[in-house]
Amino acid sequence: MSQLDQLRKGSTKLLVLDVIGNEAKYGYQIMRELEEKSEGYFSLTAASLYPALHQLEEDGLVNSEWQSGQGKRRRKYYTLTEAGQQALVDHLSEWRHFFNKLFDTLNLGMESVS
Amino acid sequence: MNQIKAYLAELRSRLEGVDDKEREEILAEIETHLEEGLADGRFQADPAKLKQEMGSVTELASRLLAAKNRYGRKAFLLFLLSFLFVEGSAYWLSLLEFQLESMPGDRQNWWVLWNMVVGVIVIGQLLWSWRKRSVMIALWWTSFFVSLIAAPLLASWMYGYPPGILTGGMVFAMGVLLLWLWLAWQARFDSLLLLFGSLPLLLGLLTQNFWMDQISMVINLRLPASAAVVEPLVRMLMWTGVMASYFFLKKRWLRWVGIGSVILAYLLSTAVFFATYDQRWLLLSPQLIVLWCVVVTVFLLMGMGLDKNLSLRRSTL
Repeated sequence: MSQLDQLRKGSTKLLVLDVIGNEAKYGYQIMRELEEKSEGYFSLTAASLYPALHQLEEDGLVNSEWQSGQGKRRRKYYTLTEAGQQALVDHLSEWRHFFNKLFDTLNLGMESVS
Repeated sequence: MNQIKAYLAELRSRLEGVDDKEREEILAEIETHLEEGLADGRFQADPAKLKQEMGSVTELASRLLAAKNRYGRKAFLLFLLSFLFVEGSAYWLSLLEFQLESMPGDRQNWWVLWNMVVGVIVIGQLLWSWRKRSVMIALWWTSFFVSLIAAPLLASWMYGYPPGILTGGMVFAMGVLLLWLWLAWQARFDSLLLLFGSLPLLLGLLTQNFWMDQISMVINLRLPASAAVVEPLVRMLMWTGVMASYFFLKKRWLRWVGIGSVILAYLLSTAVFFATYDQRWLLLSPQLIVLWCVVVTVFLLMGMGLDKNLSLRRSTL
């Protein structure tokens, strides 16, 4: 696995928290929205997404609830808890700081990130 | 459709460490995802896209097992209470030996009866965990049985005693050993579960001489009741510490350092116990030094190597 892939994988938690945002969303929806938002750059498999969602739930960052969706299909919807909202803010700040420092060190400037 | 059924069936078989309700909920969630994909026409035309969308079943199952909470108070209490009962039985057994003379009835019958009660309860728990399809609990108790069988065999080999195992005992031993191997195979996707589930076997083999000799020493040397109480109590504390480390410490290195430290403290205190009452035992005998080196090495390996994959998976979630 390349270093960039590792970095991408390491950002899964932040990406999932961000996509859930202020709305209740189910796994398939999160996957598609992330794909669309990143124009296919961040494309998760179910094997990455669902364990991440379950881990976030274990950590108290999201809550889940089964609801009836379209037709008879039941879906498990995830929402951010207060701790999840705070974690999203904290992670965003950490990543921003990381890239600022990285690009400052490389003398590349980082206006687009900040 | 067949591919989806096969995917779900394989996922079900790999989630055996998860309890029934939780497993069915996970399967329902993944099934919904697959149905959504089918409705979108994502992998209807091209079955290879199913794997692209879902990832491998092994990966999904092992990551889910890593993500699921096994650090609950309920699991901790379940293990602790049942193990304290078994360990406690050794404690009562020692006390019983002191009190037998003042007790009515034949002492042999008391011994047999008490061991049967303990055995029935332990086997009952093993069968219950088997029925609940909990690999962790089943593996733990099977390890315990294998250690009970293997430790005397090891002692026979070490000290040149005749094994004295009857045919029935050998058949039982082989059955339990096969069951243990099968469970270990089931748990192979989760190194933490496998190692924790095998701890009674590991420790049983390491401390077989302590455990076996301790009871006979208390009986033969006619030690005071306080001496008979100390060692089983220390052993109970050791198991409490081991389980608390496993269930409550989330950092990998801390968990295994915790378990290793507790076991080392137990071995040291047991050695002190022996050295205090039996001059044949030295605190720093070659046997003990080898034993401690093995324990330290095993736990360093567990902490730094074998558990690494699980930790990597956890950190990338």
